[in-house]
Amino acid sequence: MKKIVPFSMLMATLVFGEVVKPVDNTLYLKECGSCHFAFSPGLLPKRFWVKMMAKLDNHFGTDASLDSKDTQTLLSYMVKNSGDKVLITKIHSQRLIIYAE
Amino acid sequence: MKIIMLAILPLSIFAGSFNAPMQAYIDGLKMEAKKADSSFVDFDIVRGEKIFTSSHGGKRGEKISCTSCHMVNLRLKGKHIYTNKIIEPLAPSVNSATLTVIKDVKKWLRRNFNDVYVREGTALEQGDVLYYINSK
Repeated sequence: MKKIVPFSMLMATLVFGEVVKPVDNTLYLKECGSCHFAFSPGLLPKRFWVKMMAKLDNHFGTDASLDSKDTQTLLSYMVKNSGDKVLITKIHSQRLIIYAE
Repeated sequence: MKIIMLAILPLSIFAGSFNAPMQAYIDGLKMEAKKADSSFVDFDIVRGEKIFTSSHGGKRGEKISCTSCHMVNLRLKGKHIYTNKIIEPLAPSVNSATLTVIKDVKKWLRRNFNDVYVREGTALEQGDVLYYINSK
């Protein structure tokens, strides 16, 4: 059993490409995490983050807009850590993207 | 001595003071309000209360007011009507963190005016609301 766990983790890493990195950005934790769970950018692909950040003034029905500097800083962090290489997030995110549109 | 105390009393009731950066921000709003209307003298708690408590067709088409989420009693915690997020009390008398950081104040005024009034607040409206909140 002890050997199976690291093996399956290795397989997951090989199959899904990357392991989702925990959030490590103070601004992200403050601005996103003050209203809801600060989802790791690695859980969704770049195109989701780009679309979402372009319409923060109507963020799931409420205005969550930020000044342009903070919007850019956060978007860069999201894109840099987005989950494009993770197969499972590609599949999952389709529904979220449709919802967000 | 009693006379002095009585003379000071109305001032202390009027409003708590803002920190230096926030006072500078308020002064900027005053200049803007004066520019829009030359008869402007100062912001007003009573006008601010009306802005804060009156209902408007919000962004979702439903009648809401600032109190829908912040509650009528600003010394209590609020709860966002759509997201259920718990909101810390706005009254500076119970929450010393409120109205202290200009960046956050501007951010929330913009967001919340948009959500309730479906437009941004004027300098006059923003100042009135800040005076009202600060009086609590």
